[in-house]
Amino acid sequence: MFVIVVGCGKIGYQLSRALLAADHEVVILERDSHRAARAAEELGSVIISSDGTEPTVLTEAGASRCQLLIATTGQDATNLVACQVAKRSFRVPQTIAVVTDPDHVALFKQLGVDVTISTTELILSHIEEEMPGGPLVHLLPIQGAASGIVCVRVPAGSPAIGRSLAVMGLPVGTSLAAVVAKNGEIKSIGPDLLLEQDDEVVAITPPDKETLLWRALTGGA
Amino acid sequence: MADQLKTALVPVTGSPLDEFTVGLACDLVKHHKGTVHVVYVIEVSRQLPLDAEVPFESTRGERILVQMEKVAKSHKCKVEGEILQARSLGPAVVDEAALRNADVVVVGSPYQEHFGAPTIGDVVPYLLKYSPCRVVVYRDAQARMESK
Repeated sequence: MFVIVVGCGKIGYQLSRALLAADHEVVILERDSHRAARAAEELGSVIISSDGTEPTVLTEAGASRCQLLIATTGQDATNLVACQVAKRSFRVPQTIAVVTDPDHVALFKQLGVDVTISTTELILSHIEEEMPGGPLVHLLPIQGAASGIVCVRVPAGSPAIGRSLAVMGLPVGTSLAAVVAKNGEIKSIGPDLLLEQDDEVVAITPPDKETLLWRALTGGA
Repeated sequence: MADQLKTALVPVTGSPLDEFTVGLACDLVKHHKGTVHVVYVIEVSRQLPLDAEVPFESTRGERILVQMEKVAKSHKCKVEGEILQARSLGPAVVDEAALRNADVVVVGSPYQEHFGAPTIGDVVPYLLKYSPCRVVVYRDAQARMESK
């Protein structure tokens, strides 16, 4: 696959290395000439030291036959413009943008970026995962839908313990995807399912119902 | 130095310097019945796949290689010619030098000026920095005279 990577910071550099190692054809566009020169020392002549939002630069990079453009700079605005120019001027079939501000994700989607990766949300979900107690962990946003996959561990003392799903009641728009017992056994989902302490509940839920779900499963205030 | 040189690599571009660089490479390797590898690199635009057919450039390259083979034979030297397709000349020559286990790369550098200052372009510095073997840069005296 022919991939154009915009930005050769930590993400762009590591991503490009991985893509090259997997035998993909890669062109990297990096505006900072010093950074581009440093990366070229290791990655070779796949780097063009120019602005990846400029149509002339994208033309030179071969965007017209590119199958995927990934914008990885630390600037949301730059990533958005690079993806838009690629999509509209060069008809690149797939664009992926790294987004640092989670509030920009919806805007990126509205403006036609195919996939957004919010670095802040990813870091938050990893921190949540490691926190003690029964936090709600964001596993995956569902692209194109207003829901995400989350996971909650049922803590000791939760009012959900020993109650069936039918009795407990889940927030509107929420459905359980899986319940994994402490021993790793996957429990079958049904109205008679009884939750136990330390069950991992994986659910699909809209963002505005996450707190309700978390309270229902942990009893937290 | 010359007693260790058996394989020379000469990138040619169709410039008047090619004849001299090939001749020089022959002189360097022929004492040990060495081989001169002459390469013509077609720089393929990124708008095309690397293996795209570029008939005009291929025909030009073939013509230049035939001419260089004649030069090498006139020096009674074994010669092999090849056309390569790459994104840029410098890395292609470095890769080829490594692949052929070349003892020396002989490259021509036409005299050029940029804003009044002498320059040797991008390829020669790249070869000087990254070539796995010796590099001989040939600049013709005539070129300097013409620039005056």
